[in-house]
Amino acid sequence: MTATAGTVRRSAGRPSRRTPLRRHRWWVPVLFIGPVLAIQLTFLFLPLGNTFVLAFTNASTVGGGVFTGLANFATIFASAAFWDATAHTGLYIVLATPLLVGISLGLAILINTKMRGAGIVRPILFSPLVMPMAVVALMFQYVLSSDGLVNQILSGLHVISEPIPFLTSSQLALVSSVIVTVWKGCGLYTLILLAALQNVSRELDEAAELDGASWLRRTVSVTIPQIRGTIGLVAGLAAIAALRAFTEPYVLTGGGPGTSSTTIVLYLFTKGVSPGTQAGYASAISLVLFVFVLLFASISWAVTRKGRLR
Amino acid sequence: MTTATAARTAPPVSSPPAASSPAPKPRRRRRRRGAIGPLERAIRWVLMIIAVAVVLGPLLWQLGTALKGAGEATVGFPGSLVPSDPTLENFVTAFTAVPLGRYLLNSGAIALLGVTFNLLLATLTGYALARIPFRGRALYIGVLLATAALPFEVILISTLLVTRGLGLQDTLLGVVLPQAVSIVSILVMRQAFLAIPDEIEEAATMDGAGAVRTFWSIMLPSVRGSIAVVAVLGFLDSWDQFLWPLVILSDPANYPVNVGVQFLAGAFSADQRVISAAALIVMVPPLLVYFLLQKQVFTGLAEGALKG
Amino acid sequence: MQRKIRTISLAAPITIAVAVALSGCGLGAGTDSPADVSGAVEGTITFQTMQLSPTFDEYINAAIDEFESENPGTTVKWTDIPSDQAARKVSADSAAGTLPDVMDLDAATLAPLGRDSRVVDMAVQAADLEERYVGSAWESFDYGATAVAALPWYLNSPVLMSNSALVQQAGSPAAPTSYSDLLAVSKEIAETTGKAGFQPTSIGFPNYLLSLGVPLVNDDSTEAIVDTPEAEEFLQSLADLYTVGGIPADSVTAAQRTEIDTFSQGETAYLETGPSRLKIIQQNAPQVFDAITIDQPLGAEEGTTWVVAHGLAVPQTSKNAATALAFAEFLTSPENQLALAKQSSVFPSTTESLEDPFFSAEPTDAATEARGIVAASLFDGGTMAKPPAVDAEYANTLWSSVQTAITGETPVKDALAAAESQLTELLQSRAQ
Repeated sequence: MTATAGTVRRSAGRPSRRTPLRRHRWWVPVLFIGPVLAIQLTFLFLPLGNTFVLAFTNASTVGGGVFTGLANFATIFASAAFWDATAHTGLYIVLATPLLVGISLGLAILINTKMRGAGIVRPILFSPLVMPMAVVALMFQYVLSSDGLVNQILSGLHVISEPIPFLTSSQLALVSSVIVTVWKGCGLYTLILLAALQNVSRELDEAAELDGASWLRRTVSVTIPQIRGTIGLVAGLAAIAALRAFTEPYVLTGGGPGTSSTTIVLYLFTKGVSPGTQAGYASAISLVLFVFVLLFASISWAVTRKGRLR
Repeated sequence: MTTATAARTAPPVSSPPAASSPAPKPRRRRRRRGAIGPLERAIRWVLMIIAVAVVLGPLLWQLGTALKGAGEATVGFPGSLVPSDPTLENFVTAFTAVPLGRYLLNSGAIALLGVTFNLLLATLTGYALARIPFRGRALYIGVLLATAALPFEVILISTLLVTRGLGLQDTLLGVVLPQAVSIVSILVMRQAFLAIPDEIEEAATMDGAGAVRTFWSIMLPSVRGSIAVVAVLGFLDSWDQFLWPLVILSDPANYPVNVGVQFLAGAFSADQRVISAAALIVMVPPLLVYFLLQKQVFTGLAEGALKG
Repeated sequence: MQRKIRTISLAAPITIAVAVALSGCGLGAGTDSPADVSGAVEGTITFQTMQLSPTFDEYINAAIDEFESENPGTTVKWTDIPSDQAARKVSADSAAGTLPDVMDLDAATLAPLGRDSRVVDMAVQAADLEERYVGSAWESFDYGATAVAALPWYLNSPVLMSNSALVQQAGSPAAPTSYSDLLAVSKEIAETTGKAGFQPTSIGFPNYLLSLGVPLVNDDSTEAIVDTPEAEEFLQSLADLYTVGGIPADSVTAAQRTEIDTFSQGETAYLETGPSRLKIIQQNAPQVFDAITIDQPLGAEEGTTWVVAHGLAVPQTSKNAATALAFAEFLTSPENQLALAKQSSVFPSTTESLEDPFFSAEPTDAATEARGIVAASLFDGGTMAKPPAVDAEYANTLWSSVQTAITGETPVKDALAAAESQLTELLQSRAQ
């Protein structure tokens, strides 16, 4: 019965997004995005433009520099270290994004209940989002060390005989960083997803329940499709967070052992900010990173486009 | 099946939360109550306990370290996880070793201004990106996403030149403005405004409301939950600021608390207990804000868009 | 209804922004005209220290008051920054042309400014003061382009701390006197006690090699030299030590400061560090502190013990360089340095202050014993300054190359060859 109502509304509501509901005078968009644009022009695009100019010089972080044309880019593309870092960042995105989205969605569904106790659990689950990443990464250095919390628990349960070298193995160092990203990130994404879940109409869920659909089935085919947009948003944010992963490997392993957990941003940082001082070279890397991001954004835009148009 | 597709444009039929529901059909009410069976309840409990343990474990360890007295070793596992003689002296030390109180006040001022800007800018922009068509909108969203991935360190020096050029060094505005635009906040608000059914806006237009009035009195109240989320995010962003305030401020009396904690962690007074205590002190205000706003967040979310 | 929605074109503002950037603050100014140090000592100067507040508020404020009253018409404005962030703060200030008039910096942090001739050359402007300072301290600030980039202020140099409980358990081997010795003893300790001997660190690694006779860089700092038989033997022993647990399992990727944590936990038997760390160990791990014995630092006999110098530098952009230089001279004078050393556990860089009975007094505890040993080693030329090209970036690059060799993932020879070519690349990019 309610389902029928929904179908009827659907035909009425559908075209409305295609053609703007209402037309605005020219100053309306200016009023709304003008302030942000003004601030971004001054404090983001202007410095960014300046940074991109530096990319064509051999400037040092302490100042100076002369125009060197494309020399920095030639160095970057010939540098094994750069491609190595790029591969690590790619792996980071592939590992972290599904984990962040999957766990956050699971948690959001888990705590989206009127059950007693959920009210206490919610704020606890979100609490990592208020902790500075630097503090979190430091904490995990102890948690993941060879005699840390995780290894103690696992060997106490006789799951392992030798401690797992989370921080000193080339294979595991990057994974350990991802673990920290996920631990810290899930709070925020669960919060966003829960917000979406709470905006979901109960009617359909109830209708499906009357039809005898199980809880799992209702969740998968009724609830989740309704928050598809938000899941897409969360996936995008998670991918960007993974793309700029820096503090986690920096604090946890310093990018090591070797360069096994050096991400692009960490590479850029060690070249141009600390301890390196090659501002021009670092600017060039950030320009390349910027191009990567644009590519990334256009691909995800192209992929989700169909869904967005409705 | 149809239910799934129909869901996207679910009607804004008033269906308030069960508690305030005036006269629901008794049958449906009973069924909803019965939806949480004992098995499901048990599974949920187990999962929640696991999740809470994963989140709280490292935190409790940190707290344990902070509560240890001067004579007790900070290390040794797992025997010394729990302080034998809990003391608050490390918290006292943290406050007396550096002017942490003063730094907390500075951080508070920065955060207050930061939240104001973040709210204002995120709601306005999020609204425009969701509901006001203009040329270049998709491009602008792309630009926002792209710039979100750039590390701030890259443009630090150029930003410093611009900010100094505007005469904003050593001012509160100089600290807040360059980091006032939060892309995550804008996107969260955009998503919230997108979720409002078109019918609500249509009704407002038919009533003759202009763009600004529709925004202010129809749209804004509908996204209260997300506004609370964005307020929390804005607070956290400001509170976490660290490198930028250090660079733009030249008077140490204006430093925020994060910089103060760096002083504590430095070579001359590296004491793990005090540092743990200081880290907790830095975490308390955001936690407080979060818990205070929590009610706001959840009731706001529950009423949400359906209220219109 | 008119369809005038084509309102905001984003292209235009972005173009404007880029244009402004290109024409405006694009490139920072090159090397400025040298600072004028001949003017009168008067006016206001800014003075920046690295993490001395609030511990030394009283001392610094008193010194400033004294300077101001000795030089009427001068004002010194003091600011303090956290040491971890000093490098970034200094870079940003330098690029923006707003460095403070007098800066307290360690040799590694000062390196980029020194290499780029952005600070007053003390070898030219204060040549008469050279005699005042310990030789290795004066040489610490030689960056080629700037022969002496700062007046040496306070120094830090290590002693060897041993956890006597662990050492006894291992059958009381003699305290090591060199780094190769340290590896051998560590192996013994690991085999008998199951604990590690010491924790190697990224900052320490160049010191180990230098002390073993590996030059690290050639004479004009254009090429790295780390792939030598001595280095290969040392790194191979270190890798062997790792497999028997002679160094802590996590030490290859652990932050440098955690060497104190592992020692405080009784996980390592030896820690070579400055005496200032004693206080922290006493606070954090009283039992270990009670078991500490103090010995000569490694390489003491050959005169290859490391020393870290803090100096006072004056930027070329200083508007009041004369006063700045006068203040730096004043603060680094023997009397003032002695007064600072007496309040702290750092060491003066002037030979006259080191002769003070304060440093040669009969030891009464670990702290005074350590103080005596370091002062003697500084005074008798037991210390050796690292080549200034071997800064934090050099150390990081070297360490990152050898990490996987220590864990046995790559052969030692390959790691050293890779390190040498990467480091040479680094040095050459600086020479350009």
